[in-house]
Amino acid sequence: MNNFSSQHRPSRRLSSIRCRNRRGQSLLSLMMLIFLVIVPLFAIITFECARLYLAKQELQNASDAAVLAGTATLASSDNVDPVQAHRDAVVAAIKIFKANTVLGQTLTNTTEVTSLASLPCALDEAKIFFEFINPVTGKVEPLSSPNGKVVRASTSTTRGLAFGDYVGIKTLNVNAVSTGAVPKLDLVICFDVSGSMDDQTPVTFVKRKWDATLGGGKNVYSPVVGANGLMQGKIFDILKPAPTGSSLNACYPQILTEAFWEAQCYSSEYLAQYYGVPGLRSGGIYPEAGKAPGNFPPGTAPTFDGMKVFTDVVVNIDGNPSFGGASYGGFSFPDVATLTEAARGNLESDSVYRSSKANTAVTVSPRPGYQKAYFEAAAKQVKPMKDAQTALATMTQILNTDADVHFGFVAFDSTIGTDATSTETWYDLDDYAPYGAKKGFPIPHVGIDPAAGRSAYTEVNNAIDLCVPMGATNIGGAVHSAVEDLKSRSRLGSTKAIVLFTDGEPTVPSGPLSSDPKANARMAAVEARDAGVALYTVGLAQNPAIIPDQTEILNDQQSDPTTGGMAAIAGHGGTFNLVTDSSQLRQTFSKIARRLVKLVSNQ
Amino acid sequence: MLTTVKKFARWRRAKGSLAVEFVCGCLLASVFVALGLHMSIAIFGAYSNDRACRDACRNAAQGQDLTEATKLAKVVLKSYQASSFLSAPKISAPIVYQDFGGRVMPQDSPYVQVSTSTDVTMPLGTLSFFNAGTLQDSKLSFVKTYTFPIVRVK
Repeated sequence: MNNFSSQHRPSRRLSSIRCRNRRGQSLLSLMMLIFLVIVPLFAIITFECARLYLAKQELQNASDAAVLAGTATLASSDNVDPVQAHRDAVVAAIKIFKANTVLGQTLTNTTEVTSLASLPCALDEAKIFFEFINPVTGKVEPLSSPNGKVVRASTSTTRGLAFGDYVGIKTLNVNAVSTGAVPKLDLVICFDVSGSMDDQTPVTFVKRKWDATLGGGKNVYSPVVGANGLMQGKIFDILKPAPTGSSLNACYPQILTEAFWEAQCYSSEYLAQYYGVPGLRSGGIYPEAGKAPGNFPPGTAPTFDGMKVFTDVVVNIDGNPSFGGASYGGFSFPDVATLTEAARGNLESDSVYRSSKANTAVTVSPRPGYQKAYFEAAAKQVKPMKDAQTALATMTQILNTDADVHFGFVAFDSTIGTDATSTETWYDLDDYAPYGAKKGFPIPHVGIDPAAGRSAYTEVNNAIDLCVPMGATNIGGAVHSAVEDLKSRSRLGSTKAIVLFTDGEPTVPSGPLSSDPKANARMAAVEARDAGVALYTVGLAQNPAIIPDQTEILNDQQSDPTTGGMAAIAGHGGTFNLVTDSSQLRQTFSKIARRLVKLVSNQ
Repeated sequence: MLTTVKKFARWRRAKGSLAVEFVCGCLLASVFVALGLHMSIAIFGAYSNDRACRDACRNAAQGQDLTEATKLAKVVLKSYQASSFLSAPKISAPIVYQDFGGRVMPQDSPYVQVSTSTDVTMPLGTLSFFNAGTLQDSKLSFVKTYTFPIVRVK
């Protein structure tokens, strides 16, 4: 039975194996094909795809970095020439691009091309193509256009395949596109025009009187010595005021009586009013063009000899602490006497020249325009106001060239204007005596305009130029006003920011949020925070003594709403920028422009 | 009897070849499985390190100085956890924080440069992928460096 079984079982199975062998052979061939050809090929393709995807990802990151660098450079470019600003952005972007790597190889072999068609490149090479786009129209602009504010970079690189030799494809090209732009920005500038904004102006205090003992009598212009010595040089050095600065101004409104509080030196007209006698300037008569000194003829007004008294404060238009003579616009100013008479308007015609007795001491020929020339030349020396105005104008020009910005402007002293033509009334010579003409001095307020294409750039620049130093420092009021503007008039989806420039700290009078100046300022910063507005504070410290107080109120480190700094309280990326010299303002404002940059979505 | 033995021997040879066939197939398959596994882990490691380096560098670029940049980069890297085959990414070279002392030339951009490395442990031994890696003790180390512009200069 067993034999039978053993005889028949193998033969049946053998026939079965023979059948399997035929099928097995083809199956074996198929398996060999799958394992030795298809699976490795599939693995290689998967590997190469993953590797190329990694290369693309790395190239995309390098492009993003480049575009961000380009956009930041464009936004902070200290250049108002669009061609140069765009070229600077391109060069800076390429440097960052080259510093990156793709699949372990650097992108140093990168060239800039002038068209998309030129992007394909050779092995281990990279190419980059830049376009500048108008954010409003979405169209590509030439380098010369100031409207090309969005940076787009198209990049390409070619890398070898790891198994290229086996699959017959040795290289593959990867591409990336990145876009960067300064976001649509609504920016309000709060500009401190308080009286201390001219404390670095070189001036000379003068006592003008009639001296009958000289020849047939003549006008004399004596230097004045105050509590701090000879009164010529920078206002701050002459008066040595508190760290917040002096309210006495180099130009109108001058507020001459302020000199008493700081240098124990009297304005002659204040003293005259105090004693109820005629003034020494021009006998208390105003306007004073054509008027001789008050003590002409002798005895008509007291000269206050032996006291620290001055009649005039004139600007050293040559910029020196001691005036050495200068010319401006074809008008000659050889000495302080000429400055004094020109400022009073006594050189406008021969008749006022003679009636004011200027002819006894001043040697220049009178002619119309002298007074205007003096005030124009003086305005150029009003520091730090002039430096701040120039730096602000440059910042607005740069932002207008490089970014999509709508501007607003709030000039502030103790009050805030309501519109671009707002004025504040002061006596032009002394508000305390009072003496001089009652005039309106500009305190402009330009609101943000949300309408497309209405950047208010020109209006804001005109407003910046109009500002003159006067009054106190209501920082909280200005920021509150700016926040209200941004809340009610900013564009939909825009980034909102305030740039606050001040040379001091909050002072009285205060409001509208609190009667305490610092609390008022911090409450305004809280309003900014709640409205999503970044607050960039720029503190110009004209003297080291103010730095601690200024830092305490403007800093970006402590965000406690009752004790912190305004930039920190407002948050949203705002910063505090301490400047110790007005020459640094331009760079500071450029930095602020740069901080407003971000990468927008790739397109 | 002899015929029966021969037939049986032939049957055994046939059965043996089937076993050899099966074993060879398994060996081949296991090689490809190992290859595939290593490839997947290596690719994942490279991607993970790239992403970690990019995020760390971007975050570092928000810093106001080197100290803050380093802190910000480390914060990002902490969010990348280690796994069975991947180590947590770490900073592999000192961070470069170049802000030109605040005086940036018109055609320059301040930048921060961050290098990170991630170790990949190969489950089945010594296979090396991507030219970026070196193999030591069954470990592949991926190193990546990114350079990003510093936008918020102090």
